Amino acid sequence: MRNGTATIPGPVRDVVGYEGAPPKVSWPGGAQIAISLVVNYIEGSEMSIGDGDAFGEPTASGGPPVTKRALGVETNYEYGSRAGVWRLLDVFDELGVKVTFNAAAVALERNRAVAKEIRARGHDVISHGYRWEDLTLLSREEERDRIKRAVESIAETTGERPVGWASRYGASVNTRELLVEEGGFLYDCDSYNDDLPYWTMVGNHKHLVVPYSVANSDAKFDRGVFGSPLDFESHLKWNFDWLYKEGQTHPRMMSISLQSRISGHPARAQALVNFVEYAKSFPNVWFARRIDIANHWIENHPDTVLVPTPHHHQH
Amino acid sequence: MDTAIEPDSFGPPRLMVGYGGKPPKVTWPGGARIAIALVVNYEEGSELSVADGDATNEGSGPDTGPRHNPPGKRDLAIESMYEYGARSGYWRLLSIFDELDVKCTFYACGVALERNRKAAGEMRGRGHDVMSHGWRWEDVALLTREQERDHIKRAIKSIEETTGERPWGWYCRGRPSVNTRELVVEEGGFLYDSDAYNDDLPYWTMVGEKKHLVVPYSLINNDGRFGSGAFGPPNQFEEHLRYSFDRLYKEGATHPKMMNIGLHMRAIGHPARAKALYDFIKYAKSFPDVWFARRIEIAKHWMEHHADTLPAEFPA
Amino acid sequence: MDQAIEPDSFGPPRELIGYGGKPPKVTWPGGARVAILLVVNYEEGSELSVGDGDETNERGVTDTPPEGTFPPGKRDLAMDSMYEYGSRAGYWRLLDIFDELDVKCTFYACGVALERNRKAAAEMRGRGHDVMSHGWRWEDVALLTREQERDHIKRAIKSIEETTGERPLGWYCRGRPSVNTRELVVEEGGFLYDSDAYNDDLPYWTMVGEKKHLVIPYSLINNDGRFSAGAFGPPNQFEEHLRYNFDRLYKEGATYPKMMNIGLHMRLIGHPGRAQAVYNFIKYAKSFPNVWFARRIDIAQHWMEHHP
Repeated sequence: MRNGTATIPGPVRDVVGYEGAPPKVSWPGGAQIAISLVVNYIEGSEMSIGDGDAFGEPTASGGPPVTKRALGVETNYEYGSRAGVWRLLDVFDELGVKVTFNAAAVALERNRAVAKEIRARGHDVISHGYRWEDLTLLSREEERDRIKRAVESIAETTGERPVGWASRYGASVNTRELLVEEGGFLYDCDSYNDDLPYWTMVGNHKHLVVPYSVANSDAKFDRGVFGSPLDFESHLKWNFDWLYKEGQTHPRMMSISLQSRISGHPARAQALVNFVEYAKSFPNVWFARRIDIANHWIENHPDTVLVPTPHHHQH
Repeated sequence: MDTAIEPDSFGPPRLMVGYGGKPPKVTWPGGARIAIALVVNYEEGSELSVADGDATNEGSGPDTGPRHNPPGKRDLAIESMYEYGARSGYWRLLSIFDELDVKCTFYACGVALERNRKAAGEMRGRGHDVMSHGWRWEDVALLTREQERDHIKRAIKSIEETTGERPWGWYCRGRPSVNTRELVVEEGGFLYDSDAYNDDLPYWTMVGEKKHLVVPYSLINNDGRFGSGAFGPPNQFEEHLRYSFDRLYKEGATHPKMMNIGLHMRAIGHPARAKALYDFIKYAKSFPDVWFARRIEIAKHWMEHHADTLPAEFPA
Repeated sequence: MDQAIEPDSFGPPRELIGYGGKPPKVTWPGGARVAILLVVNYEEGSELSVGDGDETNERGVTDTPPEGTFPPGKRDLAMDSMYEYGSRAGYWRLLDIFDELDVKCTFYACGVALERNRKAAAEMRGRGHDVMSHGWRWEDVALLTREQERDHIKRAIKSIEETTGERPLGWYCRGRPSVNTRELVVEEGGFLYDSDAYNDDLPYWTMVGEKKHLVIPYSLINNDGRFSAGAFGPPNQFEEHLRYNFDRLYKEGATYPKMMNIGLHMRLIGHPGRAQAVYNFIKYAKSFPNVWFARRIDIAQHWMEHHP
């Protein structure tokens, strides 16, 4: 035996899910689609030699970490916390939509005005970790400690503890267990594998997963996948169109991942505005914070538990 | 050295000439000008994954650049992106094909279907074709000849068990080994393989003394290029397909051709991209004389109507 | 030292100044405002391949990203096959398009590639196209010794003469020339020009020792190789790129006619959708007056005669 045993730690893979028969969701107001805008707010918590780390974030997405200070990279991140995040806050106000800030604790500690403003303007804050770091490189004990620190720090900077969690890129094999052990979290977002929330089991504990998206992410500007801002806008519109159509019978969720240092630039902010205005021109569209989605699911769909079967190859 | 190139020491010869500018005048059923072969790769759950006991993870996801995880570490994000394909993308694609009334071919990995038996059970029932894409989604060029022979057997057995019928066609994971075609022929029961990217039409080749059918595939009309960053927003993929179609449709007025479309559930199965596929199929269906064909239909048609089309490398 | 920069230790000097903002007022035939040079690289079958006895496989300029981890000494049959598409299907599709639209191109041909597809080789000149040497094989000549490179140049000439009926009069290496290439091309003799340069919109004369030598620059920008790099995704992006390029040069050409290179590879542009993009672009360019689709030999001869 492999997965689901002592040999392979971490959650059991589930390639099956709802098996083509997702639950018929009843979003508030009969919405066909729930759109969850998420701003990953991490600027200032990334690895940086300028902050005393042994290595820094790569100069190009997917590249190797840098071992000398890269001032260009540093200021690129700074754009997000100095200019980008404020532009995005204003854009959300103008559009009258509420979003979720997926925040690394240290980033908020270093920009307290932003931390205060987020909840004041009606947005939701979930924990994106203590720092923006690769959790798979931490020991279980280190990670347990980081989770505690993140909870405390965000409670202090934003006035309220986070009840949702999303790891950087991918969780470690310990993350979900540690979140349950720590307690106080209603859900995590460490999954890219569905269009709807679902329940899973952590030991004997029922645990909610609200999947996230790297497909609908402005990070693809970084890799050159999106060139012009229109590329992102049309990607989002097409995503919306299709889910909206499906939503006539089976309402869905659409996650959109934004970074202050990317979508906070003017041209890309305009693409975001255009998309939100487009989506708002349709009836039955619900712009929801993740906490709203989680609460709705807990209340209305408590039985949608997916229990994967352990699998092993006959090597 | 102007026709078949002698191999250095092993494997099939390189075939640079093919039909030599004079492709056979194909007669697709109903006088179609173009045969569109939709292929859905069903791989999710059979890729390399530390979670499944492998030493390393699959290196790339549909929406990330290449990952460089330390060996032995799980990559839960990539795992999850693959799961999306099997959980969500698959069903979305089936609905689209039903709605538009087109049939596709699944390139299926045995282990992937074993892990999603309800999905496997639906494939043939809804009229689609199932080929073998290997026992697992693995680089067969790195296997020994004996290992590869064994994996071919396992794939057949597994797919027969999960889908109710053995596969009649073979496509490895992208890159065949020098042994693949010989082993596929040795194993027997296969009508053709698709381990080639070198033509717009099927062709016969020789494996030892045996005539063997090749139905080439495409990595160009392929959503895998979302992963490499060649396609950004979905409309780029749709435009690419339309251009391919337009050209082949034009050529097909005198010389009908085949158009491959390669899809991956974890890539095209996302809503925005599924819409691009949907719109393209509708576009193609708005023309007369277009044949959406499963690969098995193309293979059988070729065996029946074009049995003598040996390319220039193999004079009859 | 405001013109040619002295070389470091050997090879040609860098030429950073060129026409210095004052290009010659070119008189293309028929008063054309822009000369469009279609180039088709015929390389397939001469690239590195373990299947052909090489130690490693070619990794680039196809539709798969380079995979550095594939073990040396292993055949890559997928890569082999993607190249084969070019010589089997792409080549013929391009010839048909050029015939239909009545334009002539220049083939950058590798000797060995044509030896392996003799029927294709024989059609080139017969259909009015021009054939230059693209080397004996498609190889990085910067990695050869001077003696090896001299020998490969000789082999390329002999091979192309034999397969196409006429020796090549122009030279273009595989992308990156060695420091010896131009000298060796001149030493060998019989070449009217080379295209081992990306540094101008017009031909120019340079000196090799005491000898005046013609350079007709080429382009890796107006080049379908960028599909492989992911710079172009769908075919219409390439078409748009070419249209933008044309529009600008056509405008400039009202007073200063220029040259527009278009670099094509059969295994890339020969696929149906991309071939359609080239088709559309050629039709677009032909819808304007005073556009000259020229083979490189036509440009060379025109330059020698009118701009010596």
